[in-house]
Amino acid sequence: MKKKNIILILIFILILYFQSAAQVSPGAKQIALSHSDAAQSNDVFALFGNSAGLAQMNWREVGIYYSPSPFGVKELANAYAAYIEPFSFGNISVGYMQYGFELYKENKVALSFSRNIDNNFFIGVTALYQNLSIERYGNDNAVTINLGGLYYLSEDTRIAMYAQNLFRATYGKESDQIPFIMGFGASHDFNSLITFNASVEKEIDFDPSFRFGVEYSLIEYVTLRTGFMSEPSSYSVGLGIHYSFVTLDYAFFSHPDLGLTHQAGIIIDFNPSSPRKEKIKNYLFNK
Amino acid sequence: MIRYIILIFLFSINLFAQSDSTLTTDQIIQDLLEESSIDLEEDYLYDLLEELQDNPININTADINTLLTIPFLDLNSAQAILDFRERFGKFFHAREILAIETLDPNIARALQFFTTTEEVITKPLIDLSGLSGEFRSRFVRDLQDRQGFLNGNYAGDEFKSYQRAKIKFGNFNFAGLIEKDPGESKFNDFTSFSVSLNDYSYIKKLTAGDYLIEFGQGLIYWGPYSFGKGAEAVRTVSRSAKSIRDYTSTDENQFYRGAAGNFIYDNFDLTVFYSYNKRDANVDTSTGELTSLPISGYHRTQGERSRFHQSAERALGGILSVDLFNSLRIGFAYQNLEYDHPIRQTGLFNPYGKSFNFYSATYSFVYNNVRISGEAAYNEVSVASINSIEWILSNKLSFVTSIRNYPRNFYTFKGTGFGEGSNTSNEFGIYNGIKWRSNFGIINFYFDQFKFPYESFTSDYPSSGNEFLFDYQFRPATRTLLNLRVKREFKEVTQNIDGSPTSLDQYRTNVRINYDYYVLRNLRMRSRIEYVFFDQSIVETHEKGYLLFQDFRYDALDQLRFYGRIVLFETDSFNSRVYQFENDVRGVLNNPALIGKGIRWYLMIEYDLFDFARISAKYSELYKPDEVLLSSGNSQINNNLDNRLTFQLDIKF
Repeated sequence: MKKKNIILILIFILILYFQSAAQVSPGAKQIALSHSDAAQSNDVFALFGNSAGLAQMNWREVGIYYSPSPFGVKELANAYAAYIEPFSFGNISVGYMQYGFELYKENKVALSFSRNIDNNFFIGVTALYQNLSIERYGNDNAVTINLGGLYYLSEDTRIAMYAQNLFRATYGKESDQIPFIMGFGASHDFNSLITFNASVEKEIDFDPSFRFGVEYSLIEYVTLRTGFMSEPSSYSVGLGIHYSFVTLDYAFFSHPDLGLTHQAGIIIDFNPSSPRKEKIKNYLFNK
Repeated sequence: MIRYIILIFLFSINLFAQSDSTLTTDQIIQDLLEESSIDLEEDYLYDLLEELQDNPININTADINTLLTIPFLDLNSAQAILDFRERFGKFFHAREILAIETLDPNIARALQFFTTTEEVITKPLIDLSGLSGEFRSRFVRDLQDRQGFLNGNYAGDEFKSYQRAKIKFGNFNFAGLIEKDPGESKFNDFTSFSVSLNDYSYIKKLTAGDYLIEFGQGLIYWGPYSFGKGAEAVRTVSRSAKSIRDYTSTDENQFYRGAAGNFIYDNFDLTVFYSYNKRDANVDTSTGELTSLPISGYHRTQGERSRFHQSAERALGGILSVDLFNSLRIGFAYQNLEYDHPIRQTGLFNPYGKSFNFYSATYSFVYNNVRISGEAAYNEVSVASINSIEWILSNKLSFVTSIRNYPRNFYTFKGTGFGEGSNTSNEFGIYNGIKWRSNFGIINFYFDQFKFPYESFTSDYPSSGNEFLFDYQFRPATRTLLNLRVKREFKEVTQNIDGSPTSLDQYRTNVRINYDYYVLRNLRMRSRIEYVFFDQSIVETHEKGYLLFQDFRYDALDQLRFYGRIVLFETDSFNSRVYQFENDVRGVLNNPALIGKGIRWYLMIEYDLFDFARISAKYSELYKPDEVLLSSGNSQINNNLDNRLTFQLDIKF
């Protein structure tokens, strides 16, 4: 009886957690910026957000993100892995995500194609094969399609837009189990050290979420990040440590109902020649 | 010498214009109409611009009043064209307009398509050379079954059909139109036809069939369209009439049917017409009185069919205009309307009786950088008037002030005067507008104050209100355009509170950020966020609505174009509804009100099959997750999805 109650509470929390879908997105950097990074999606985890950003990269990269027990609840554990391979015709990325525990499990496999359409314009298309299984309710699969675009207004300013689950795929017979999401973002490099990000995301059933984030390169090896968003109202701070081919990101954020939590991720970059932003600018503008 | 330099300059501009943008006439028309921010899904405005495209204005001979009949051209720009002509002589080609420095580049680009330098030559009356024509065939179908079809209330099938042909040879124009709405049983539920002779000796136009009459500022004569208040703060107020227009639209009731002639002699311009037109009407069988003249044009249900052509309207009248001193045009008009049933008296100040006379006088005076224009009209009861001053302070700054006074006992059947209300009655208003092409962008601002001295549609008491619009456009980076717009409307409305009508203050505020960027020469993206706030005092209603959209326009090949958009919207109710002007197949305006919560998206493809033929198709979808049915009554859909398919074939030879 007691155990049943706990399970019910857990499922309630899960639903809460799941509904603020943004928080399920991976990447300690993205979380530290409160997901304001639509126009600064320049690492391999962009696969799960605005995949257009992947086309800015001309190197291989692997990312692993693991959150063993968010808000102290190990049943909310989620793990992501992503890989990007650049080709002459565009970049192909694959990713995997797992979320939940024995009673409620979600798996996703992502395949994405992104391409530089013009010097300043990038698009990305991602197909996500999703599987949901709930104990005693059975399981179901769905394929969702995400689109993204990223446009450089100048070397320092970018704007972006994305739409997720374009064709409103759903689990089971109930419609809208997977939300339709649309967002816009802008990003501006104030100087070589500071980048501002702002974005708005709207999920069909929720109020729009306004987000803002700042990234500051303290020294060559350390990046500081902070951000806040309106829906759900939350604040975030984070830290990135880069050394050689390894980038370690850490994020700490608040949730209005669930409190504080920590996240961490690691990115392995197969071509660690210079800092990320510099590398992208060299690739895009100094060809 | 200067002339040659300008020519060289012109060619370089041309190259630039071509590489900068691949705008087609249709896109220009779409952009212009979007600016007019209308709520109607009507095609008059489209027809108006298409007609102008077919009959472009000669920039070498046109005077200022003629130039101003181009709907988007303001005095400032018209004056710039005349100044250029005076300085450098006749234009070689309409493209030379691009070389006029003081002209807004967007206006200049659009003008190329609506002007010409070809002289009108008086040809023999019957001249089969230069035969040209166009044919447009359109079919539209809702993919969801509406209630009226399911329960058998609608007689016909679910297709909407629209077939139109226009033929031009020599000085003759022919136009014919057949239309059927969904649910109507006859393929030719509405048929319209006109033939006209243009520019032959003293005859400027001679029309038989269906037509519209324009005069002055539209107090007694005007087409059933108007541009209204919009982001072009200065231009939209004072109008320039074009006398007779061949009718090619699908409104089934508000045109004239008969014959009309427009003759010019020296400085005189005379129009006479006679019309006898059957109209849909509700007639009270016991008294034989007309209770209403519905204009929807639908004949789908028993009730709608029983109104079909129940009344007849006979109209006749004349207009005489004269041009004096090269800068003044004055005009006088008379109109008589007679119905075969008397109109029932519905209110102290509403029209009643069988026969109605209208008289009107208009003037337009242009002196240097000032244009003063106006109209006064008399309906045998009272006099309505509108007077405007357009003033060009510099080539970057223009200003307009307009005062309108439509008494409560003035009414008009065929007029649509500028104003807040739609019936040119019971309104006093002052409009001020300013347009400033500053170094940091283009600013349009207007402030309109209005008073309804007698009860109105939204208020049981005399009421007042005002409205302002601030529109700012600037280019933050090359190939991009940022547009910020704030519009706020205040009105006193009446609502029943505890059984007694109470006057309360109502505010509607629209805030819009729109960003256009040419990603490639042939790919334009547009992102928009728009908020609507709706507030009422006393009852403490505070509602909001908003939309986000992402739009693209992609010219994949010279012959192949794609248009698409995804819209996400949410509004608390109808009060906070949001609008977004949509691309549609040519000739169709689409500006649906979005209410509630949902997604709308569409994709349209246009393909030029041959030089002379184009096919286009559009699929659009509206999805509202929280609803189980959409709309109501006969148009109800028992589903939360409303999708539609449109096909069109255009042939031009």
